[in-house]
Amino acid sequence: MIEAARLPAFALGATMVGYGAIAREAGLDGWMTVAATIAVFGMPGQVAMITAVSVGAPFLVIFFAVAMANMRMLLIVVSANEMLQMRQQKIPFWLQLSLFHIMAISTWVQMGYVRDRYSAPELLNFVIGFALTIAVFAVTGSALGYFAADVIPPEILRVMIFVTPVYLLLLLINARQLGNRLAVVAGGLFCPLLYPLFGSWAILLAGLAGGTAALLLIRLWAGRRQDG
Amino acid sequence: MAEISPSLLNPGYVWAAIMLAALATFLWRFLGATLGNRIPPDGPLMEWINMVAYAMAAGVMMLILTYPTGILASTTLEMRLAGLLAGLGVMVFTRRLFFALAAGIGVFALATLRF
Repeated sequence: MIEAARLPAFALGATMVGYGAIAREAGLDGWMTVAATIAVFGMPGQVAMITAVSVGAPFLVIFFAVAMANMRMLLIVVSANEMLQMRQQKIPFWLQLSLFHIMAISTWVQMGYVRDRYSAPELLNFVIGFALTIAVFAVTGSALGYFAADVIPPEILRVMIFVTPVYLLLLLINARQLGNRLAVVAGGLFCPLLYPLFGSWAILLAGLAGGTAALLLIRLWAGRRQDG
Repeated sequence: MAEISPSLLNPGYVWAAIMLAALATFLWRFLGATLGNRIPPDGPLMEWINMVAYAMAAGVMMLILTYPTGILASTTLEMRLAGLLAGLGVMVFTRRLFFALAAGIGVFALATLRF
């Protein structure tokens, strides 16, 4: 099962190389760079934290900047909880939290992509193996980015970083349910359009607008079919 | 490690910021796990949450491609969109993830190396 994690793990590792390079530019030391990956485990929040720290922002601002950037964790965890049937499987709460701590977007998207192939207990095993592999690569990538970003040619590095968003978008657009696919298209179009107006709020707005639009469309469509 | 690259920032300040960042992220996960155990799995609320999660994840990824930070910003929007469209196009026609990803990355790599 860990086999399955190879490509996404390398892709995420490459993304974290990019993060390590940013952390170094901002003036963090190597321990801080890696510790932030382990303790936070949500790249957008880590970048928000570094940006805030590099301008000497007060703690309250740092807290809210990170909370904003990592808000999607709430939805991903609720959704993952349902897919893994945590409650029915009687998984202890602390164990749920430990798994959710290392659950990156990659893991959640991958889980949605393969969920039909496994029963809930098998899916849980798959996700544990996958998430642990991703975590190892994320930590290694952060350290590598910090110490070796200058060694990797930028032409290669930027292709490596390009892999994660494209790979995840391809997985997302393959969602099993039509409603989720619609949500992907709507959210993917709304977010870049809203960004110039709302900054990082665009992610939240695009998620709410795209998800709601998809649900309404699906309901309308289902209603039409029942009438006809 | 401190000898290799001395930090210009006050270490106490940075470590406190890392702890705060960890707390800010943990609270979402904690809330998600708590709520997830209470929301009925087959209800309309869960359906909506899933769709918002999908829309948000797609939004974040599209944002990385359209408004990149770091080294990806050294490429043009056309290069990144060409790669994405190549991937999506191959996905639609072949339904094979591997080919789609290879096409997307290939087009982007060629575009960045040629221009």
